[in-house]
Amino acid sequence: MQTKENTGRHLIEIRDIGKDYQTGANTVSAIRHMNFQVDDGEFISIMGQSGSGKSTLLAVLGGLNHPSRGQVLVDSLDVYGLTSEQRADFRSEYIGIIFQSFQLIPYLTVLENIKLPMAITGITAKKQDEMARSVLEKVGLGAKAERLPDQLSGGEQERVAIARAIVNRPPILLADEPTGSLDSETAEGVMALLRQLNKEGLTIIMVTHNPDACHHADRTILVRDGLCLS
Amino acid sequence: MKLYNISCNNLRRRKGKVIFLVLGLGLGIATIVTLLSITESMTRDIEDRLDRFGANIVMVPKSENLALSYGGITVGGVNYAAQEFAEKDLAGIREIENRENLGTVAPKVLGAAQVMGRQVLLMGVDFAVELPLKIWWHLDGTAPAGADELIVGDEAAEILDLAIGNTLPLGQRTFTVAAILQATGAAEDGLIIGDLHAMQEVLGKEGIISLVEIAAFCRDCPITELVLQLSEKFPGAKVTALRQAVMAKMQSVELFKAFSYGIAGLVIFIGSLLVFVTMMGAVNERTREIGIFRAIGFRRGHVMQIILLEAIVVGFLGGFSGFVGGNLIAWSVLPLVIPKGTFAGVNFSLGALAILLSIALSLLASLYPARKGSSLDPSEALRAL
Amino acid sequence: MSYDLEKYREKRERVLGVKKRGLGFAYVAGLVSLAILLGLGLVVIPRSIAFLQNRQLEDAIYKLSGERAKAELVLAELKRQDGVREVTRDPHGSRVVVTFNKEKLDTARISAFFLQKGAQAVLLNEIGHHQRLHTMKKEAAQEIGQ
Repeated sequence: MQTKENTGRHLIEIRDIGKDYQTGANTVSAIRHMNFQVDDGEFISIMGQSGSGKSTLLAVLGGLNHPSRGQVLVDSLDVYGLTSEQRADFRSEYIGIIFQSFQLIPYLTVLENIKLPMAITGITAKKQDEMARSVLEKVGLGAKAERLPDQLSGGEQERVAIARAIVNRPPILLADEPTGSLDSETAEGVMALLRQLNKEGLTIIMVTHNPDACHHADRTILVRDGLCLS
Repeated sequence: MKLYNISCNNLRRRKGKVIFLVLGLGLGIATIVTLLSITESMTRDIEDRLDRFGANIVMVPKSENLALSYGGITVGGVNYAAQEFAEKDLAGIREIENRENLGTVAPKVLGAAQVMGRQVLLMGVDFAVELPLKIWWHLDGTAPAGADELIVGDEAAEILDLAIGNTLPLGQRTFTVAAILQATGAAEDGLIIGDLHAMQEVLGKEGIISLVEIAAFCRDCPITELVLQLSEKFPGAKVTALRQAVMAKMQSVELFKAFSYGIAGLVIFIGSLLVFVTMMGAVNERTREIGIFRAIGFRRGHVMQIILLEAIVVGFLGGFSGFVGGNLIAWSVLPLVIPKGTFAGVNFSLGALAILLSIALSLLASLYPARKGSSLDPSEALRAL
Repeated sequence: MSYDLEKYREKRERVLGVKKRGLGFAYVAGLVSLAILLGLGLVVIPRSIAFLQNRQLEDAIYKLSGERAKAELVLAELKRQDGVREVTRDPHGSRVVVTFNKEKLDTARISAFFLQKGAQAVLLNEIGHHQRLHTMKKEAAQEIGQ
């Protein structure tokens, strides 16, 4: 059991983390050294070129990728001090993830995709349905609940991915290039939706290489060669 | 949404693979069900026969032979005695220790005779004791009322072109056909059956008895003991309980059963291998999906549960279709295995067992793939995203 | 900007609580499957092996008369013959059950052996070993039942 007194009372604290990959005899550092905090309700964008380590950082933040060194504290929990099963529960309770290119399950309908995170929570079928339909309305896809993902446009799929990420009401939303594959108009709509969710209290950490998307964030962290620049 | 919804949806999406798996498992289970259904029908057939004449004992003259061997090599047996019984000695049958268990004693004389230019087997019986003993005999016509009336076996009647009411000269006497015995599928079909003393006269075997059939009173009395006591009383006789003769058939059924288990084991092993390979392939194909499940908070156990639930569904379908298929095959091939045999019927406990076995095999064959799938590091799985 | 630690207390407790979910299913499924397979195997395999091992065994039941001491000597010698598995007296005392391998021996040769040794033996019955044991067990059960 790993709890630490979160002296600074930040929701997320990244302490001296680094992530190395072994490729043959060489060691490549995806994250060399990073240190930063995120407060509850903040909208942070992490910007950098491809290969700069920003997606790795997001995976580390989400409890998906064990850092080679350092600590990730979320709500005073040392994420990588938890057991693998506790970490799975941590992801279920705290984190909503929007993947690059949506990653919806192709054989499940829009509604079923959204209900997916609730399959392990013990919420009743009726309540699940209510919650899923409510978020579906929120992202503006109420009429497309029974469609399969491949019957939707890119922007709509992105909205389904957002709905799935927030349906369990996690405090933190991690978004990996949420507008990467969308046209500017659709991207703008998605960003407005994220801004709206942030206003409702959701802490958002968004990885992007698009400077326009950063304007919606409260703060931008620039990442280059595995280092935080600002 | 529950985990089983994910499993069911995935199975619906991969119909081709599911059909392939169900067929593989179903084939294995069908093989077992077919073999066991056939052995059950064979056993049922034997039990039917036991019910018919389980309490009967047959006493025939012993044909003694002595084994000749040179330096340990048997070169054959020499027949040195084959005598028939004297009718007057049969009273001894009722002198054995367990005589209170003896019911009807039905002596018979057997011999070949030339009838209308053909060699035919004649049997002389005491109709008064014989007919109540042969409850499985069905006669067209009426039972013989006098010593000059005959029953003709179905085959014999056809060959000799005999019908009810026809007369038939045998030796110095003329007999009337009183009844035709409906086909029994046994030796009686080729016989002409007449009164004991009349046939002794026709065959020139006055006072001679070829074999004695003895019905025991009870179905559960110690037949083996009766056989031994009769053998002791008549050292020149070979006494056999028909139950023993019928049970000897059981030996071959048992052998068939043991062979069936061997085949079944092999088929099941191949079926399990098929499930294992297919499930491994499915897990590898689903790396991306498993990555998503893990990323949104599914525990390893949840991923295993999804895969194992699929295995349970496949196992159930395989078991059920195998059971239905096996019974259909057994029903259709049974007439080839046991002529005139009847299908033992659908055994529902075998069905339950077949389904349980199929599910167990499917689950066990899927355990490693499920474990492998659930152990995927989420970050590794996410690289496939 | 600080936040209230109490805000996510429930979530934190759920994460830190050691509540098993899901994993048990795989264990239970595996164990039950294994139990079913082992159970079926234990029922089927030993029975088939025992049957295959004993199927060539046959019992010949003889009635012995004459001097008992001499008969004992003959039986002891018979026991040593190749193909003879067992020679036992049945409960009546005067009968002898010779269990032999029918691939190596037959009743004619056993009778010839008795004849050679001057023992008065009459073959009463010949029956499969497996079948005789089965019948004896059944008849014993019926006697108890009565």
